[in-house]
Amino acid sequence: MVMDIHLNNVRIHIGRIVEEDEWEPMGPTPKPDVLDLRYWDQKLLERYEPFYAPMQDFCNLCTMGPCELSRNKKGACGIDLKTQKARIVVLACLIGASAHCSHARHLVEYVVEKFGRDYPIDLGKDVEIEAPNIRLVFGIRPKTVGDLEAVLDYVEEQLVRILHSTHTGQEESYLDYESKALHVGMLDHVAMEVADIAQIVAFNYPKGDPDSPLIETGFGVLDAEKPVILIIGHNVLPARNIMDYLEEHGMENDVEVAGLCCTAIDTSRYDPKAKIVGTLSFELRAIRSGIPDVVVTDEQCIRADTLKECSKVGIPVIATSEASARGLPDKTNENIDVIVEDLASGRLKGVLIRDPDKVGEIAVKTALAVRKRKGKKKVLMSREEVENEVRKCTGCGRCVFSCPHCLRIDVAMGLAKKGDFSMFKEIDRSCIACGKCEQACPKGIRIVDIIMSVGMDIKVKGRSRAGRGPITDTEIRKVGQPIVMGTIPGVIAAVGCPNYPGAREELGSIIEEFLRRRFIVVTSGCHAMDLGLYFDEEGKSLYEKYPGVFDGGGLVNVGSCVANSHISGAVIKIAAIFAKRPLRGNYAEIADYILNRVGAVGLAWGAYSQKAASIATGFNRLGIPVVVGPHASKYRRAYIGKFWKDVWWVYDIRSRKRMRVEPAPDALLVCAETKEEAIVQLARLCIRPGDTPQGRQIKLTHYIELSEKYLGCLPDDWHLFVRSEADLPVKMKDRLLKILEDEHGWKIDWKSKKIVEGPIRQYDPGFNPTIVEHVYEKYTGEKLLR
Amino acid sequence: MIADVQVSRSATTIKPKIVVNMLNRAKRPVLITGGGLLNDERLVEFVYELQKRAGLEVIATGGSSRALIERDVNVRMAVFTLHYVTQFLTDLQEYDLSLFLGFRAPYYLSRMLSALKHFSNINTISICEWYQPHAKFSFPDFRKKEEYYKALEEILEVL
Repeated sequence: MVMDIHLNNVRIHIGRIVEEDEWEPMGPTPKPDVLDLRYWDQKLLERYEPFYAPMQDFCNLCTMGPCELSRNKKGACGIDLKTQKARIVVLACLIGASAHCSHARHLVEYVVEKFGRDYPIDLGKDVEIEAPNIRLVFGIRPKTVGDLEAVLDYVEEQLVRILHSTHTGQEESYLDYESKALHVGMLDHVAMEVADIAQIVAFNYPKGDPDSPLIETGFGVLDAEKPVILIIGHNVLPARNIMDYLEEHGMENDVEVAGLCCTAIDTSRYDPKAKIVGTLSFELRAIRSGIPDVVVTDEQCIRADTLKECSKVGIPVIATSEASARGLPDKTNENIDVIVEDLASGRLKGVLIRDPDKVGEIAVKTALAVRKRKGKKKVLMSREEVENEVRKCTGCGRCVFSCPHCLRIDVAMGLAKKGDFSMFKEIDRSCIACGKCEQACPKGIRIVDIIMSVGMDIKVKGRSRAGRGPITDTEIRKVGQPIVMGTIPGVIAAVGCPNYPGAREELGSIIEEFLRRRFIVVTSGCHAMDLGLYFDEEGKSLYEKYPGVFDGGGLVNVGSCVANSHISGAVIKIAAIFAKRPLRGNYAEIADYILNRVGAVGLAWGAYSQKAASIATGFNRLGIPVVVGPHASKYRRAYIGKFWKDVWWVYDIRSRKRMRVEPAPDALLVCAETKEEAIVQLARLCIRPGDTPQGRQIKLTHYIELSEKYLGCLPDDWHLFVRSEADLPVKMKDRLLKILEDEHGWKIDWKSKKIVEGPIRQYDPGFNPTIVEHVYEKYTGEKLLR
Repeated sequence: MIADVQVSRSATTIKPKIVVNMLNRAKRPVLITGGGLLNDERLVEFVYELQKRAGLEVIATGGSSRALIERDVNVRMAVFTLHYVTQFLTDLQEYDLSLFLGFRAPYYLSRMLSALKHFSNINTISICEWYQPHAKFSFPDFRKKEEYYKALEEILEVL
């Protein structure tokens, strides 16, 4: 007997395979394999040639070497310097993406175990496009947390296959390694999206709420009068259990929970009573202060000497992650009271607890017991101790040469010997408290402690807005058009790690410049917490001055590192919601749309980590440029376009012509040395070929004004972005027309004040650019000869 | 020397007089300035005098253009970062000698000197406060700021 069964809107899970209803036609590249988007990367890399600035002249990855590769020589395996550097970039991105992917796997496993595979993904009624990165890359609409497992299976498989390619004797062209780095970056955004969706839905974080709570932030949140649990890392599970334990036992006001790095951010999304101490550069300071009674570490961005440093000041450590077991004994299944007694008495310096649901009780009980035994906490060195330390200094200068910022500690010491300690305050503002100076010092001077005691404001407290998660579809509907037209001049995404010489003052002043100019500013991770500590004259932080909406003049904190996926997600949603471009498995078309039309630029005023490298590279593949701080030159690779080369062309779908366009944006990754330079770069990289005259006029106004304000002159390249007189800033029109005529040889009709000849191209209201052949063919129905 | 730089060949340390000799011999030299000039008037004054006496072209990065323009220095480029400028030097080969001065972030300059060492034929001289191993020639480390300024003054005197 034959039976016909008709099923509509049915979802069938077979193992990890997700079958789903046809919500959108499948695009050309669902679940792209390592080489499937290589053609798109080649388009990008033709324009934005990789620029290499090697850290070392050597390769010593295999035993044929070490090989000296200077001046692009080949090593014993045949690899040249550029290709070797590209391989290192791939490895850095793999490390970063693997960190997020493993983090996501932990969260999803936990949520599936606690709530089941069918636990629904519901990000609120205003977020219908719940997972733009997953839809775009993997090609599904995830409806339950179980669906996320299949997505992670794919990401993990791809990461392993790319890791394979970094073995000795593989790629011959640096461009192929770069394509792989871009692939990893894209996968990273998918993994981050999985992680953040899982924790938002399972732990009831804010779901796109622009008015999410304000969280106390700053070193001053560490209360020396109370038992303090310091949580460090990126995975919220143990910290969440601490918050639950305190609430269940009515102890919320008895014990302080404060965090460093993204664990702090995610804990405050879970429970606004949690507090944020600051970024990684405050870890050594927080430990050396002696205020914490117990330190709980999870994973990523945690100092590798945490246990040693904590032990020096008698703080027990609870390690909770497989990624950082810290040489500690595994006490997961032992009696909790015995563990607490061992830790509080100092018999054990720390323990490894592999079950996050046991951490809360152990941490709270330990904090209480330690606090009881410790008595009054001594926070900083006394002035007498400082003076004794300073007297040991011989001025050898080794501290300066070991310092990542070359801070003149020797000069500060010299002045301090004469009773002038003021320079240590200056140094504190730039110091990342890495402690390398102390290792270099032949006299063993406690330099970090001196800087803390003399220079640091230990009472500083600000407020940052709890990470709100996704940008809502409603917000995108409102701002999609102004962003694409250019009338909202740009989206600035301040993300990354705190590794910049001027610390938070520089970041704050960069961001406030753009908020005042009504750009949209989104932020996440350590940048987000630093912005909570940038104050105006009235002592208000930027979050208290600017609304949390995704709109011009809004400052949006999406959350922790993994919430960066909501930033790429918002940009993807502009293409989907405003331009109605299909997302499903349609990566190149969407990235092409973003590159040509959406004026979004990343800012990583650091960065230091491999995760930041991977995140930035993921933004780059999506057509979003990133400006980084000077330390990021150590990532070794930038993507910089050459405006003098014949690579600035597009297919215009309307006129059906291949045509030259202005070099906009002319870089995908570039370092700025100072905040002044960064501000101008951010404004210029918001310009896109798709801008309307009104939009271009607004963008050029900001670019020129900022250049004149910070660089003291007109930008060198402003004329390249002028298509007609309508693009010129109104107030400067006559002056600029004169310059175009006199300095650039353009023909101007002065009666009508119109440009007659000169621009790279004329503005055309129907201009519809793409650099991808199949997109051109799709919308014209015309086959291109290739 | 700036922190932890590993090189196969370290820069030859150079005295002010040799800097001038090389400048005089170069067909088309250029001075690249960095963000350190934003809060060092003496460096700005040095650039002014150097351009006046040697007619040197100046490319300003890191926002240093503002102070230089205010001091009547003729700046060829101002908006491009050191990354872009290094690419110009490598690709366009307009200059045969480049001097670098006043970078607030010496590690950034270090990377760019590395790029120029490996991928171009341009002669590079760092006249910054810190020894730059990736340059072809570099001032040594100056432990005292006054000694550094004195070396710059010597360049002007010999010119």
